[in-house]
Amino acid sequence: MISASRLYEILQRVEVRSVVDPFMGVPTHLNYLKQHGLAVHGAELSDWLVRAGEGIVVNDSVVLLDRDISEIVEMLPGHVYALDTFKAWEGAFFTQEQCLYLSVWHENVHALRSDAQTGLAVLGLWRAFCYWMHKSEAPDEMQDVAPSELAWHYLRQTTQWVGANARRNTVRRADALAITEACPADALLLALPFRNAYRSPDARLSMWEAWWQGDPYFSHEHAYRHALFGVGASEPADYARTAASLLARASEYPVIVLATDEKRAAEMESLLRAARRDLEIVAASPDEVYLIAKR
Amino acid sequence: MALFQETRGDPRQRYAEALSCYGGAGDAAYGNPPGFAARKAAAAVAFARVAELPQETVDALYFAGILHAVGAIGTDPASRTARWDVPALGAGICARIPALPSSTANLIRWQAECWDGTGYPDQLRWESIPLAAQFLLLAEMRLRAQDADEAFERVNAESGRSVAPAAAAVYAAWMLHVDGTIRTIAPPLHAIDASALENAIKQKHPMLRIIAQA
Repeated sequence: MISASRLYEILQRVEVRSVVDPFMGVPTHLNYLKQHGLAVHGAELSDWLVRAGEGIVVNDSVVLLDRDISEIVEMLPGHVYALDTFKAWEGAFFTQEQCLYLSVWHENVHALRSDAQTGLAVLGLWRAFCYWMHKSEAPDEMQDVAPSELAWHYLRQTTQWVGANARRNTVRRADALAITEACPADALLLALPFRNAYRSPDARLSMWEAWWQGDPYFSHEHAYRHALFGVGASEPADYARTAASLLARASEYPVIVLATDEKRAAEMESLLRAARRDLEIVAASPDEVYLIAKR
Repeated sequence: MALFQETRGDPRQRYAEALSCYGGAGDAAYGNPPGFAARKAAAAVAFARVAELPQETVDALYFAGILHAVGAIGTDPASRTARWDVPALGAGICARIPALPSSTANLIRWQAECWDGTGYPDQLRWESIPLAAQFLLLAEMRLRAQDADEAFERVNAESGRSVAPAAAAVYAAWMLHVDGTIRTIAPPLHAIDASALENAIKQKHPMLRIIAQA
């Protein structure tokens, strides 16, 4: 877990003005850093996360107007939709109505013209999708909200985070090794994936990739098995070797900030100490520990 | 500083009262009515007791409620961006206040986070947000509503959006078993670290001067 405001305080203290995050996830923390004047560069393998980054991190001033939102959340007259794209999820995860909406949203979002609009829409609709997943777990504690109303609400919420992109911030779909080498900055932010995390992904994140790809049978494990922390890093020794190779490529960065939690802090500390000696540990909470290594 | 250097009585009592005044200054800067912080603390603690959170968390929650708006001191209340920064600024201030329970600052930082990730400052989502921090949000919703029933409707509507379904269930249980009334409570003096406070007084900690001035 990363709290953007605390990360910003840490980066300010070590006088960092630009950051690279090769495992950015949903890049709301990069958006916070961007809004506070840092230049940020993020990367991910999952395409929808990169799209979300284009919506809030790279985007300069594009917001979704009411007219745009209407064109995303409802069926457009004169357009022929393939309404059975997500039929495979019907009954198992979602209702028939929800699956129809997922098909309509998929086509409407892919028809948007700008990357910024697409990113905002992908992030906003994802929150509606998560609402449905949570509602399937706690049906009595959450209200039934009409799909278009829910989507409208979340798209509106998402566009309020758009801030000025004065520092030419970037996000890209890239391997962690590639972006670590290609994108020099003052600091490298690392939130390393858990060992074998690709095998048991969070359904709220991985199923949205399936939605974006338009393939309800998309398998996260299959798609990312050959990624940096994929099958080649499934054993503890392989994982350590992979992390060390990544840290070796980061030798040019004046500062490395490794975000972890209390359980993994000792393991991460030994990995980082092998690369850098000057190490500071900030333990903000059991779920949030930062290892700050200077060159 | 003289406030804390008196020899009579429990210094923790005077410290708690001074913190309460400092919290009141935060309320005034944020535009909240007088006594808002004390009521927010009392409501949040009541929710935490219903949820049977550990005593240390309940104590931290009390101080987080009292000091919830200190980040607003010195900011422009009309500026929306500045309002987004109030929790993080408040957490920064509380991390420097001596003798408080250690998790107080984190609870202040995350008091405006929403379950669905649309809150601020960190846009945390789901299980990343501590339940205790959600109780501060619930307390805020309760105090902004006319009465407990109106707040209940709002909490229900926000369940799964800004409020965690688990927190909404706690609110319902509070309404059912504790009749939805907010009762002011005494500060948990045992949660103030006496030796840390004594050291801070001896060393004339700068935060004590600021708190005493409030």
